[in-house]
Amino acid sequence: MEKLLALLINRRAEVLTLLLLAIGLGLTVTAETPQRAKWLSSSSKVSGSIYQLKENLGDYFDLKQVNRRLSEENAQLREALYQSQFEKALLEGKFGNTDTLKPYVVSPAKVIKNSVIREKNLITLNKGAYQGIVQDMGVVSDKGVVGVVERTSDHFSTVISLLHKDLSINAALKNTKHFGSLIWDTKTIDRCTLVDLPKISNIQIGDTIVTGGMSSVFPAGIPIGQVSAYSIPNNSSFYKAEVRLFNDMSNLDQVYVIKNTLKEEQVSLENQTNGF
Amino acid sequence: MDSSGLILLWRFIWVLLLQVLVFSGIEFFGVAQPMLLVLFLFTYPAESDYSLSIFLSFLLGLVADSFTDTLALNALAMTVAAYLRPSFLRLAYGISVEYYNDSKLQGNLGQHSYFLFLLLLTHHFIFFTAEVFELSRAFVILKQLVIHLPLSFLVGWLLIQLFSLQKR
Repeated sequence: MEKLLALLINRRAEVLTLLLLAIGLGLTVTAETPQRAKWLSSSSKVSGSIYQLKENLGDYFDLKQVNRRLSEENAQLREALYQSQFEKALLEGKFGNTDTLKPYVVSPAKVIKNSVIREKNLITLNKGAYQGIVQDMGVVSDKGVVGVVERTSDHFSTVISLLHKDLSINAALKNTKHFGSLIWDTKTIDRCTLVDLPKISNIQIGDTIVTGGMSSVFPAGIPIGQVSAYSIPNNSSFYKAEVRLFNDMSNLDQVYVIKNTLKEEQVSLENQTNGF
Repeated sequence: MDSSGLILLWRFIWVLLLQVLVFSGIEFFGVAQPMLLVLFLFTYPAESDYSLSIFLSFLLGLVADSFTDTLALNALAMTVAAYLRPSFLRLAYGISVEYYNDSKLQGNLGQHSYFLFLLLLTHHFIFFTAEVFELSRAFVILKQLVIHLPLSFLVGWLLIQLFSLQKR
């Protein structure tokens, strides 16, 4: 026992190194699990607050650019609003407002930390549980899809970026509505890959890719990108398409978190149906 | 806490803030980022406690990981770099830390650069290996090393020149 103790003391640096490596490996392995140490993420109170402080300082220098982008976005939103009101009125055979169900609630948020160089990139937002943000909400910007909320603290949340190798999003061709899965192959930050798109879809270069709406995270029709190349892998019945993203994922600022108010109902019904 | 402890704490904080507030926001061409937590080990007094340097390096890496959502990758990389640091000192400066009693490393620019390179190479190799976590994807680790290591070394080297080696 004394010899063992003496050995441990003499070799304390090696023992300490092995111990710390074991702790580090343990944390790395559990990084993807729900038990992941909350306090060790950028949505924790301390790191989130520091990033918020940095963002606040940077805001003063970005005001002009932000104003321009918000103006552009306002213009697009108004255009979309007028268009949808017009179409709705046409469908109902009348003009004017009617009370309708609001399936989606949109909350604005700011990106206070972003990364694009990892294989599993995460984004931190300045809104959290207090503002009603919960896991699995969709996040979009004025240009298109950004990611999906992974975890929240009281005032911050982390988002799995589109540039995360484990994220898969239901996406569809805007014209034909044929859908597949959008994934990121980690090669370039401006392109994703659309897989499992049926051969019958008649895909063309330049086609717009939007969210498919098959999941409960995003409404259908949110822009994602444009087809820049496509192919059919050997012996496959599905297209594989390269999609150039509308969003510059390295330059995100103002984003919107989408809450599906009918999500529970939808998921519950789907689970019941799957049970048959 | 004595003055050497305060100096260590100060270095711990400025290396951390430099990495998470400055370097983590820099992504050259959307692919490369300077990763310079090893500056803490580079500036760590040669004669100071070895085990303490390993523990503080792990802690520095872990705190940095909490900011950058790279859970424990920096902690692992910094621990290994700290463990190998005495060997790197011998390789770069030809000194044995056990018998070294001057906190300021005496050496020329080539020796300092070699020491920094060894620390960075170790940190980056462990970091990306742990991140990729698949030996079958060794080319990805190699690609990441080729992208990040030169940038980290260049920025680190410029910083060392800027702050003057005599301040160590």
